[in-house]
Amino acid sequence: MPENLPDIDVSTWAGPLYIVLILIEIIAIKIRGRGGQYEAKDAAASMFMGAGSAMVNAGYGVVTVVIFMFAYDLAPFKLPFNVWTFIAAFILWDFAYYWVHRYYHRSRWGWAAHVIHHSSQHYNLTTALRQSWTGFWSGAFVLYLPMALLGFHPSLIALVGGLNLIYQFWFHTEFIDKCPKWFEAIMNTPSHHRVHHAKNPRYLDANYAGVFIIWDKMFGTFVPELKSDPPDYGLVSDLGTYNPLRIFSHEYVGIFKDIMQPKLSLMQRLKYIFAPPGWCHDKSRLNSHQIKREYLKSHPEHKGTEGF
Amino acid sequence: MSLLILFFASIVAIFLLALLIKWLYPKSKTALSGADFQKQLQIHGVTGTIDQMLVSTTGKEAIAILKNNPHFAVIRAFGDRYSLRVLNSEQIEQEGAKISLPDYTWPPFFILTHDAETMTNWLLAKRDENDA
Repeated sequence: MPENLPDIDVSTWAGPLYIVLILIEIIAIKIRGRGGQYEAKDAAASMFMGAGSAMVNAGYGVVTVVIFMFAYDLAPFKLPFNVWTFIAAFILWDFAYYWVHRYYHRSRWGWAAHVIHHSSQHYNLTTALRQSWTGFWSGAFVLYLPMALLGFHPSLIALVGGLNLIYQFWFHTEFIDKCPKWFEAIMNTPSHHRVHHAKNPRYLDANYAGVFIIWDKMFGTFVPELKSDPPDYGLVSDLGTYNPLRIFSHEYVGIFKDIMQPKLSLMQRLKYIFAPPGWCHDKSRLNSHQIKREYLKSHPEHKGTEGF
Repeated sequence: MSLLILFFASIVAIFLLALLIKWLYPKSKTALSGADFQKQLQIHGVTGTIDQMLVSTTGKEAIAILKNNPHFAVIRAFGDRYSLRVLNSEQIEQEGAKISLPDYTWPPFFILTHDAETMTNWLLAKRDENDA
């Protein structure tokens, strides 16, 4: 570990910060009478998912560190820790996060881990805590490995990853409408991320960014929030439970049921695992592109507008 | 060990926050109405209007047969949010007043005992329609 790299475990001080901010939001919405909604069981489920995720990820963290240290040892040169390598690591992590997040949405195996985060029909700060318990098994961490191979120390990678996650907490709110224009142009904001959590056909598969919204603008996945189409949060097919164990496992159960169907080819079974969510051999379900197409059939006036 | 302590501290914090939310944002005790159900059908783009509906014992779930649609619609309310399923008669299981759906995230629900016969008749009628 580089000598001057601060030994900060960001998660130890993030917990109390989250609780304070949630308290502020709960009370502020009540006083203001708008800007979001809370439902006790939904919020409790979200927070429990967050606590569970922290526990599980602490276990996987050990394995991840070993893998990253192995990759770092292979790096032809080792980068020192200074302000420039910190900035570079922060930006690189966010770039990789964009692709990790895109993978989570475009492959059912990734989606099975990430769907937890989208399973609430509410959008408030507790939604941010509704995190995956199986992120490690999604294999997405592989997309961060090139950073170690480039010579960034795993401790620095963990630090920027933690800071990235903390940044993503505050914008899970309806309490803030829009930020200053320059900020909205560069950074991920509540408005941009509300779009990401919406199930409106227009907003499906949009705004994957973590910290910098520029990645979505660069790679054609940016959709702005429209007043004419307020976000409707949740899943295309919303869950019928608050039970955290079912929330965590439901997509894996779905995958298992699908691949166990009789008379499927190997390719079809693999597609049930890795193709975009909604893929179906008999076309009885729709993926996000098909949902958009179907929507445009009944709303042709929206063709060519944002998100279509 | 410290991780376990952190976890249990989190559980206590979650419980207290949930109590605060429950106190500040009390839920309406009103049972699901036909108007709520119909509105959700429209939002979800389901064709057909509600012909008849049965509300569960908790008032949070309802099942309906639709006009101009051979399917059943089932709804569950979560405060002012809803989850909806549109299913055919083969996908719905009835054991007396207990209704089960082939959905891992939907726990079974109970309709009123005196509605059980109506439900049975609906299922039989729809299955006959499908067979015809």
